[in-house]
Amino acid sequence: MSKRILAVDDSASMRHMVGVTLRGAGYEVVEAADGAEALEYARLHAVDLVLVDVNMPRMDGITLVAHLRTLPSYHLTPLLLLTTESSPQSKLQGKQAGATGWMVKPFHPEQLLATLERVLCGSAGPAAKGH
Amino acid sequence: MNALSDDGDTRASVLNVARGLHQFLNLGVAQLDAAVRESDAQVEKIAQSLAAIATDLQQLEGAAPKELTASMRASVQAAVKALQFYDKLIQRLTHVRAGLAIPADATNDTATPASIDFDGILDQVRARYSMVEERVLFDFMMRGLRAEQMLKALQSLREASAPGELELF
Repeated sequence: MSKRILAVDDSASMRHMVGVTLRGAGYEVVEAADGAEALEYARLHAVDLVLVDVNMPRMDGITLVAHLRTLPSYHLTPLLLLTTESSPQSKLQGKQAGATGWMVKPFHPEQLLATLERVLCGSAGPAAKGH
Repeated sequence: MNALSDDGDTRASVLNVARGLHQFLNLGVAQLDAAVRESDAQVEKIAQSLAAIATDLQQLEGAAPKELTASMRASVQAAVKALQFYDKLIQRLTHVRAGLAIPADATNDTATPASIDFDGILDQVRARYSMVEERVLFDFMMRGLRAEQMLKALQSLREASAPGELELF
């Protein structure tokens, strides 16, 4: 069964680029246009990994990560921030919110896939976390 | 009497300049909005087309020669990476828009130049920036660097940055 990735970005073209990369590698991809939409989805559905942009309307990525970490079923889920931001202060905020890692855009598809594989290896998967 | 008249003329002239500046700032905001809206729709079509090609490629795997599918996959990956620069461009333009809209709002028709809080405007504009490059350019501007000096410094910054860089916490 393919792993389900929740891709959160307010840019439709970025969601397409992430989708093209991940679907091509066999992942199931669910898309959300901002943190609020993603949180709504995550409360009701299990996902194996969340890939989040930082700057988004309604709810930014760091706030989303903090909210997800309060949900028992997302305590161990890999939450990766994928953003054009690269300042140490922002990274620290992401880390403090509970993010698993920080990746700077633009991503190279193979690099993103290798990263996902790496962090998913250490994750138990949603089925094992009570969803 | 003449001195009072001169003061009045100067004040009227300053107000005219402020109104003209306000109009130019609003024009810039409108032009950026129009350009982003127009290009958004076209880039969305390119992204959809690329997604469709990637889906077709998956169906070709196994049926077409390996060299062909490998070459197509490499092209799709290169396009995926290149198209992400549009996202970065839009973020930049959005912040440039804010950099015009914030002073435009502060210099509306009822404001007098003396009542404008320029330091406050600059703080608001800088706060909108989310990329290191943008903040650095802003700080260079505040230090009085010329455009070409700023671009040279920006180039060095880009060479030092690492897109795709991963940091696991």
